Amino acid sequence: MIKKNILLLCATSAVLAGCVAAPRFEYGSYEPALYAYYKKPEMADKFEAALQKAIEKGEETDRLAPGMYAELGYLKLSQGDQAGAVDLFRKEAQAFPESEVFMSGVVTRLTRQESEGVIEEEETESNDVKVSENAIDGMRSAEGADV
Amino acid sequence: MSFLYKIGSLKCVASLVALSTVLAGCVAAGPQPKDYSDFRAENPKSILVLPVLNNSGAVEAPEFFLSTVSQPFAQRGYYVFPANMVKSLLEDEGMSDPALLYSADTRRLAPIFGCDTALYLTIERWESQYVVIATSTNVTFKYELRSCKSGESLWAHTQQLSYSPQASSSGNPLADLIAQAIIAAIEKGAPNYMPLARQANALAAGTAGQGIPAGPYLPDVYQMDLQQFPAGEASE
Repeated sequence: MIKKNILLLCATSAVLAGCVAAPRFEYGSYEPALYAYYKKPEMADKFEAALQKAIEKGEETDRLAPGMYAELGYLKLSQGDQAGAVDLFRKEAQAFPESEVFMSGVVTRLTRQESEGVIEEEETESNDVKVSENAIDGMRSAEGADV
Repeated sequence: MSFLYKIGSLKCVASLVALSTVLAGCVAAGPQPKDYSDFRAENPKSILVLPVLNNSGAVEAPEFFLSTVSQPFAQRGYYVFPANMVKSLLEDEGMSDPALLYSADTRRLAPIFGCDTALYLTIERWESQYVVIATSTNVTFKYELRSCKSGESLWAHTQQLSYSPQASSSGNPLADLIAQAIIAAIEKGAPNYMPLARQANALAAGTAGQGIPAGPYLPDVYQMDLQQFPAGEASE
């Protein structure tokens, strides 16, 4: 029975492999680690380790998954490491030009906040990223109009 | 005793049936293929996964769903935006209510994210039935890709799935039955729906004629799969 099941499993995975081919991107344990992080925010370091490993393996095999640098960067930002975050956001944009608008928007906001912070120190707010507030305000008012 | 053996072989039949469903989706489409004219015309390269709209009573469902949806869509050859970062940013901006987000114009996402498409995810049903030997969970997920350029729908899919976790077989039917009952009891207490969500999302993204065509990150098949993902009625 066990043998049969194993055979069946092998057959299934062989068929699936033949059909979908090897996964294009290396996600590592992104999925369970993200879920664990949602359930328990104190699992942030587990999520971080999962991201780091997925990046490492992805870089090695040339199968780096989209969003991994950015997710890690955002995690670093939430831990107060702004320089590390900006670095990773830039890496994401470099690896995946599709993310350029989003990443450069976030980086611009962050670096502007930083330079403003130097001039008027009192005004600096922790590490909040404000992505194009106008655009989001636009979405809100559009909802009001639509409904 | 032969009754118990029957259950065992039934299980095998069930997995064979499941296997052939997968094969059917892979080799030849079962249901009528969708019309991919709009999708093909727009030729999107990136997907912005939006926070999940939950119409079911299961509070934990969106987290299972969101953490497993990026990968299968990316593996189809697309840039998928960092789902958790996007979700957190939207929450920081006071857009934590998916219902509001889902009623807004998709085009307004473009200046912020530079997305080609946004993926709208709705959980319509997520119900678990506890029936001693196996807990079965029935789900219905809705997926819709809307263009960030035109706001129009490029692809929509409804995925239904019935899922019950299986204990690995020990060769002793009675022991298997007990193991199955224990698993069912565990499922009732602290269920792990990771495999369920994975399976549903993989089927939704990858089934020929139903999912999404291969994207630019799959250069070997990109735009070569017109037969599996046809653009409208075959032109005469």
